[in-house]
Formats: sequence, structure tokens, C-alpha cells
Amino acid sequence: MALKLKQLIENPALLRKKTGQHCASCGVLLQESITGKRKACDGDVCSDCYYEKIGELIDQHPITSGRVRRG
Amino acid sequence: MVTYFLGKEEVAAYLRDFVGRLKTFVPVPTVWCPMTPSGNELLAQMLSMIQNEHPDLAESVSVIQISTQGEKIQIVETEPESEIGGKSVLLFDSAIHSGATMAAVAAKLFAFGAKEVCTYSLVVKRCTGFVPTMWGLMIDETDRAFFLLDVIPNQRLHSGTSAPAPLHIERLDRKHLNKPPVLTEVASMNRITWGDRFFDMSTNEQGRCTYLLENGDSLVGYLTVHWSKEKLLVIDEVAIGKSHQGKKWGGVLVRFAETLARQSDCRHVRLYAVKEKIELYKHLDYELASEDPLTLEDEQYFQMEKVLLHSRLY
Repeated sequence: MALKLKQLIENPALLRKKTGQHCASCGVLLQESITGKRKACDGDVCSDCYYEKIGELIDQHPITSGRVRRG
Repeated sequence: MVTYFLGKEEVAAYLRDFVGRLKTFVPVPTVWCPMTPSGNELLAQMLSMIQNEHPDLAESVSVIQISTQGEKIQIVETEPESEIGGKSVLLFDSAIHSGATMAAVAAKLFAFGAKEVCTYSLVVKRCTGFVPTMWGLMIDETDRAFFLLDVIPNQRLHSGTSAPAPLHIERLDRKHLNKPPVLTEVASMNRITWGDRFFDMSTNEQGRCTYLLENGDSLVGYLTVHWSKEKLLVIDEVAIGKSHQGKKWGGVLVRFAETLARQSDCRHVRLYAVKEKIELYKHLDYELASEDPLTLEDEQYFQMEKVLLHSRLY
């Protein structure tokens, strides 16, 4: 049964249900402009967890284009 | 890139106008569907306004919360067909980015038999593929909008959930030329000196730039980027010295590179991944940009790109 606006005015806490998506890695509630929301192997994750995964990859092998021109 | 901040007074002013205009619709939507927690937050801001200024709505409007998880759309705690069928519905969220989610939810509401779906968002990005019936503020795709926050997140040289280190970045300059090298497992990178990179920065026409990551006065890693003409930031190098690996600080440099990209209106970032890591980068939203490998000594590297901003208008 849907809530009526009147019920929410009387008890706004009814609206505070967790309807959002959580980071698949750390569990934080994902809010695009605050936590970030990015795709990763284990689902959508926050920016902190996303860059941590990138950091793991770079620890294993650096990125190089071999393009730096030597003077 | 502009950062907008809308406090409670600004949001209330937009919502007061919105509700006033909504009441001129015939029929006025009687099923209101806030999307996501931020949609709920907008509704929470409207409650006292409705109580004081539009008490008739309090009696006539039902509320059905919509939850989204990736492409999965969930109607919270209700029997949607009986609640929505034949009704005029209002669907609203606080921000529309690509517009894909709101378009999908609107389609689902119609599938449940909604007679009409009126849509609203406080903020809409200019690149959206879905423009709602009403919106408060249209912003560029590189812009950010924060609203109803007591705390506004700062940019940071930090990746992950581990304790942050007091890192900083310096743009490579003459004063760094005698700094010790940052040595990695890749010999072709180790042969390039800071002098080589500084020469390249000074002579390159694509704005190539090397940034040094320092922890205190220790040089722990570096990043080299350049800007291409196609609104693309190319990450030429990212490396963390052998003795500092394991702390995931490469993610700090990529995060900084993406901040530079957004700030300079780029739509994509490109990097060169070693062949053995391609699948792992694919899991992090990068796609292969070319099948032609770059061979450096005994290793093959492939160009991989990630969409930074969904540029539907471009």
C-alpha cells in the first residue's frame, strides 16, 4: 500500500528508507556527486574504491606509452 | 568546470515554484515517485511546504519510492499495477546525468499502466539524453552540483579506504632534474631521465606534462599526460617506485589525471595497458581503443580508453 503525503508529513521518518545503491566494495551509500559511482569488476563502486583498484593494477605494472622524447 | 552549491533556501525556492506549476497540470499527478535517496530528500524538503501552502495535495497524493541499482529498478513496498494503473504520475530525482535511468523508470511506469508521467529534476546536465518536463538548473557536463549538504567533499590525493598519506604533487621543473629516478620493473621507463621528460615538456606541442608524486620529500611516483585535439587526455606514464608499491598510490595519480581531464573539458581518457592487464582494465570500465599493439622491448601495450563524460551532444 502506497504511503499518502499526509502520512509522510505526520511522520517524515517513513521516507528515510534505504532505497539507494551501495558500493560493492566498501558498502558506502553511492551518491554520484558525493561518493562517485563507477563501474568495476564486482559491481558499481565509489570513487575511492575505484581508484584503489586502479592503484593495485599500477603497483603490479606501470602504464607507459613509450612516447617521451629523449633530449 | 563550475561547482554549484544549492543550500536549503535555494532548493526550497526551486521546489516552491515547481509545486506551484505542478498544480496547474490537468490532471494534477496524484502518484508521486521520488527516485533514489536524493529524490527522497527533495520530497522531504517539500513536506512542510505542502502542509502549509498546498494542504489539498496532502490528502490526494500517494507516494511510491523508486530504488535503482545499476539497470535494476525496484518499486519499494507496493503493488505497482494497482497503485499506478490509469493514474497521472510524477517522477522526480535531484539530478539527471545521462538521463538513462530516468528514461528507464518512466518506461517502467508506463508499463505498469500509468496514464501520464510528468518528470522533474532539480539539476540536469546539458548532455542528458532525457529532458524532464520541468527542471531547476541546467549545468554543463563537466560541472558539479552539490545541494542540501552540510559537508562538501574536497578533491584529494587519496585513493581507497586505507589511511591517507600526506602526499603532494609537483609539476616537473628544473629544480627536480637532479632528483633520484623512480625505478620500476620496466627498463624502458627507467632509462628516461627527468631531464628527458623536462625537455619533452618544453618542446612538445600537445602540452605534455610530467607530475611528480611526493610523500614528504621522498619522490614516490610520477605521471605524464598530454592533451589531444579530440577532447581526450592521454595518460602517457604512471609509475610508482618499487620501494613504494603496495600502497596503491598509482590510483592517486590516475585520479588526479581524471580531475585534470574534467577541468580541461575532455570527454575521454586513454592509457596504455600492458597486454597481461587488459582484461583487468576492462573490468574498470576501459575499452580497447586499438588492436595494434605498441611493442616496447619484450612487452606489448594496448591503447585503452574510458568515457569520462557521456557527451550525447557532441
